[in-house]
Amino acid sequence: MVKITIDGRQVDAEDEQTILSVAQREGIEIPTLCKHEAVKPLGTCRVCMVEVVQDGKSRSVASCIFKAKEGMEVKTDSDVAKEARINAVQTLLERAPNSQVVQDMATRLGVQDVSTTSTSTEKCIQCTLCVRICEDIVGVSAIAMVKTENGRKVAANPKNKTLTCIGCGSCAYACPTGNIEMIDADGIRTIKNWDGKFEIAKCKTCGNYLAPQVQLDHIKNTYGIDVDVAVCRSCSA
Amino acid sequence: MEKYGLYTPRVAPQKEYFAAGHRACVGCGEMLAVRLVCKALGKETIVINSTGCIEIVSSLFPDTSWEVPWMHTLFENSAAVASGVESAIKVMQRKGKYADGKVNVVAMGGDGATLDIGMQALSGAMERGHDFVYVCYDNEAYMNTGIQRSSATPYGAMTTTSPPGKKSIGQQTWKKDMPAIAVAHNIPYVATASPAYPFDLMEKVKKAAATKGPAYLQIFSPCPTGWRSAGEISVKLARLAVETGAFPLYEVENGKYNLTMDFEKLRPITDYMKPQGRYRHLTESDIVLIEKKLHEQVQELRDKSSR
Ligand SMILES: Cc1ncc(C[n+]2csc(CCOP(=O)(O)OP(=O)(O)O)c2C)c(N)n1
Ligand code: SF4
Ligand code: SF4
Ligand code: FES
Ligand SMILES: [Mg+2]
Repeated sequence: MVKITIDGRQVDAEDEQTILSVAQREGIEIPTLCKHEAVKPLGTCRVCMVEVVQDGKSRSVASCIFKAKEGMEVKTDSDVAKEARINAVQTLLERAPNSQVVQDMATRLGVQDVSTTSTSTEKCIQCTLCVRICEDIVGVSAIAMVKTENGRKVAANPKNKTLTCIGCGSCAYACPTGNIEMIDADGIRTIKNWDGKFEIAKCKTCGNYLAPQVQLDHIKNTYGIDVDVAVCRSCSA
Repeated sequence: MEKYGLYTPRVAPQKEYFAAGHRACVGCGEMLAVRLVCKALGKETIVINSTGCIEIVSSLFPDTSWEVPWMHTLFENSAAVASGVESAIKVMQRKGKYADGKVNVVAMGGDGATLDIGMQALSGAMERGHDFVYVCYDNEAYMNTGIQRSSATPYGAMTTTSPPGKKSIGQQTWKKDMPAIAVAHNIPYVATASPAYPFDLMEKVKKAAATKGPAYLQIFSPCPTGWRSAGEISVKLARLAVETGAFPLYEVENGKYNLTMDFEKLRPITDYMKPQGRYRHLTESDIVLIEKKLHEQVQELRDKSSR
């Protein structure tokens, strides 16, 4: 247990607890984009910046990864904190000028003009959340950040010989900017970003669409569940 | 089929704003729906709740299930109270007396509160264009006072005030098409949802909350007590209602219809009706008639969606 001051309040924090988590417990709002409760935070988007004063020195840190230390003073609403967030979101605006989420965040953080002259259609802020989720939660490491002429983008993991994506959509669901496009049409699921095409299996009994075949195979192979997964829940007893 | 299925639940938000330990019946589909709605809305939300099961089971003094600000209204006026809350926030924000930022103002009521006694208040609120969400939890009768029929009760269903007998089939009118009435108000967002499709439901709630202006949601809410069905099959019944066409899932954005869940072949309506005591008295020809009507309604929605 450590004692810290946050926005003038004396509060307790667990050892190793992040500033963001203390703030959330205290009802103090800090914006976030790349933080997701299911995976370890990585501090890539930096919109969660706060000012920290330690031993008389002030600096700004990403609150989703920075841990509370005894005697630390945290200011979530100071000029230093606000400026750090604005700088962060401006970087994101450059990376992803087409993202409504980033534009809204910029407006919320006080950026006056969020318009861009860029013709880029990019929505990805390169936060790597999708990559972390695919690796840690789904366990197939199907995607990775790869270099392009102007930065990095999410693509099929070059370390794999073939696409290992099972079309589960966990990445699309969690992506804070809606950059991953997943569409179901005519029995085929498509993920545009890495040309994933997945046939959707039909229920053997009623013929309604059930789930992508690769997902059913993956469950069988990974968990050894030997039930007949090709029957939908309404048809199985 | 729901797009986000087998794996995505692991990355869905864990935080609940409608706590367990309420006094609803075992297997209540309505409280499951409330829980999902609150999960999707998140912390910056004020709930204005009509009298009905939801209010009763969630607020037994001195306890509460609500982890967001919650206000109980009369049976009929949640939409009117929500109008006031929304206007007050707007004025106070203008005067600098209320924190900036978006607050979801959400009125909630049962089908009785919405389609019957509260429709006037709701119509007025939609017409005035308040920035709010109205959620109707449709368990197809006045359940809290003991299963009286409402205008959402389906044709043929038994309730205590639509008893079947020699001269009556049970409920004698077809279910009132409330989403169409909401659409007729020219509001920007209308949708139906079901707790059997939790991701679809949460997406629709988020869309409704993000909509500027009024949004209307009608959520299917299986009621084991009122439907005379087993508590453990509520989610299955909710799914079968969609798969048979008894409660199609669709959304209407700025007047444009989109059937969000469609099937190459609808299941026979008996799959859905058989496990429910409220339909036990129906004859084969009654069922044929009902099935025909439901299929026509789904086809109408398909036609509107393709326009
Ligand atoms: C003006 C008025 N009439 C009648 C009642 C009694 N009453 C309380 S809840 C309720 C039925 C609620 O039905 P519904 O809105 O469908 O919600 P449910 O309980 O089914 O969730 C009634 C009739 C009341 N509270 N106020
Ligand atoms: S696709 Fe989405 S989650 Fe993945 S890096 Fe880009 S913004 Fe982040
Ligand atoms: S859809 Fe593919 S890339 Fe995305 S999390 Fe699932 S397996 Fe990984
Ligand atoms: S939320 Fe902390 S860096 Fe993105
Ligand atoms: Mg009701």
